[in-house]
Amino acid sequence: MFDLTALWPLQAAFALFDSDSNGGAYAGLVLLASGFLYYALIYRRYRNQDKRHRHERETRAAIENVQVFDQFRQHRKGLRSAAMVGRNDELIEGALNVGGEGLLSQTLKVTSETGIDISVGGIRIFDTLRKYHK
Amino acid sequence: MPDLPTQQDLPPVAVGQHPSQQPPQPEQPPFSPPQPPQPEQPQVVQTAGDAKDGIDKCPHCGSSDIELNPQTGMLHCHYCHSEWSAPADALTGDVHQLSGIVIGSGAQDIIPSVDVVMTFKCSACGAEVIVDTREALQARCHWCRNTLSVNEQIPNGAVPDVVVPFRLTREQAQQHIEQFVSKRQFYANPTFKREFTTENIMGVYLPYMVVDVKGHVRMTGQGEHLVRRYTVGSKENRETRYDADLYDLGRDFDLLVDDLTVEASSERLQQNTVANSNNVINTILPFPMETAVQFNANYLRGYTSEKRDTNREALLGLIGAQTRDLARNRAKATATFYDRGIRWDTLDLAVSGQLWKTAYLPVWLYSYLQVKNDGSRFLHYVAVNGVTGETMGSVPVHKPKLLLVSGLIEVVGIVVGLALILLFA
Repeated sequence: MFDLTALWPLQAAFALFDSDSNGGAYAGLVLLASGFLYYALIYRRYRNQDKRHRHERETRAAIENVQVFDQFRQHRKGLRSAAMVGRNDELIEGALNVGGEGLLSQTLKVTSETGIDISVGGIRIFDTLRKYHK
Repeated sequence: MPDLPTQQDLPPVAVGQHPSQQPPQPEQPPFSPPQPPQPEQPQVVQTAGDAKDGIDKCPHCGSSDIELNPQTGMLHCHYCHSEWSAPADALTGDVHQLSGIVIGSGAQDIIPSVDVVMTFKCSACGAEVIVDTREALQARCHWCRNTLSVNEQIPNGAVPDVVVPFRLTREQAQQHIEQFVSKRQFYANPTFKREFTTENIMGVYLPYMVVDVKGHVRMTGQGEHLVRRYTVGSKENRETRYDADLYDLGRDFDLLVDDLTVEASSERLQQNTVANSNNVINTILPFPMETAVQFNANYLRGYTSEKRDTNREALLGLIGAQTRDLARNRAKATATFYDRGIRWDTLDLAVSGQLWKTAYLPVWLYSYLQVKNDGSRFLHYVAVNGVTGETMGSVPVHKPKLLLVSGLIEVVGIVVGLALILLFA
C-alpha cells in the first residue's frame, strides 16, 4: 500500500492559502522542495536517526527553594526575527545521537519573513506549518 | 562535576509573578565566581549483601534450578515452585539526604588485570567449572548438573549493584516488534522484508550507570517578551516586525535528580547514527528503577548480558551535561513569561551529593545485519523495553523505491509550486 498519510506536508502547504495573502507564494516555495521533504520525512520514519532518550524531560527531577530575579532592561522595536536571537533555553548538551545520512545530513535552512524555517534534514517546517495553520 | 561553587543568595521573588510587579532590583544579579574544585573520596556502599559465588540454592528447598518468572518479576524455583526476590535496599533513599560522592560496590572502577574468566570448584561434586563473565554469569556443572552463579562483585564490571528483571515475555516482545515493523513496510528493503522474523529476538541485560544528583543551580541570562506583532511595507513588499521587552534574568534553585540513566558500555555509548543504530536502544529509556532488585545471576538465566566496561570517571562529562539540561528544562517553568525565548549566559551547577550505581536493565532486541551494495554492513536494531514495552527501531530503507516516489512528488511540486509563485508573488 502506498503510504498516503505521508503526503500530509503537501496538504499543510496548501493550507497556507487560508492563512495569509502571501500564503500562496509561500506554499509554492514549499512545493518546490516537496520531493526532498518527502524523502527526508520517510527516511526519518524508517531509520529513526533523530530518536533518543529525552533525558531532559523523562528523568525525574525537581527544583526547590527557587529564587527568581527579573529586571526590565529595555524595550526593543521593529525586530525582524520571530524569536529571540541567540536563544538557548532549548539547548541540549547531553544528547548522544549524532550524525545523519544522505539527504538528512544536508540541511537546507531558509528563514522567510514569516519565520518559517525550512529544513530538509528535520521536521521543523512541518511543525511550523501545523502551528501556522491553527 | 567536581566544581562546587559557593552559594550566594539572590533577592527572593515569588515564582510566576509578573516582572513588572517585582520590587526594584540591582541591575545585575550578585553572583560570585566558582570556587576551586574540592577533591573528595567516594564512599562505597556494599550492595552484594551476602551473595556468594557458586551454587545458588532455593531458600525453601535447596534446589539450584532457579529462573526469573517475568509475570511476577520474581525468582521461581522449578522444583518447589516458590518465588522470592531481594529488594535493592542498599542504595535507595531520599535524594534530599545525599551528601558527597556515594557509589555502589558494583560501580567501582574496573581493574583491567582482573580476570573475566573465572574458575569455580563445584561445592556439590568438586568438579571445576569455568564461567566466562563476558558472555554469562552462570554455568552448569557438567558432572552433577547444578547451576553455578557469579554473584560476588569483583572489579571486572560483570556484577552490577542492581538488576531490573524482565517483565515482558518473549511473546509480548515479538508482538511489539512485529507491530513496529508492520507500520514500515512500503519502503522497507525487500531483502529485509523477506528475511524478517521475530523468532530469533534476544532478551539482553544491558549495563547502565544510574545516578542521583543533588545540586544547586544558578543561571543568569536575558529573556524577551513579545509586546506587539505587526506588518510594515506596501502590499508587494510586506514584512512582519516584532516589538519586545528585554529582561535580565537570574534563577537560583536546588536541583534534585533521581535515576539519571546512561549507558555503561563503550559500544552502546557510540551513537553515531551514520555508523550504527544504538540510538534506538537509547530511546527506550527510562526504566522504572523502583522495580530494581539486588543482583542475582539467576535473573539472567535464559537471557544474555553485556558486561560493563566503562568507569564512572568516563561518564562524568555526560552526567554533568545531562544534569545541566535538566536544570535548563526545569527552569523554563519559572520563566513562561518570556515567550520569545531566553538566552542563558551562565549556568553554574554546584553538586553537593551524588549517588552512582550500576544496573542491568532488560531489553528485547531484534537485530538485522544489512549488507549494502558497496559491501559495507550496518546493524539495524528494533529494541523493546523489557518492562514498559516502549519500542523503537531502525528499518532498512529501499532507497530506489523511495527516490522514485520522491522524484515524482518533486516534479509535481515544481510545476504546482511555480504556478503558485507566479500567481501570488
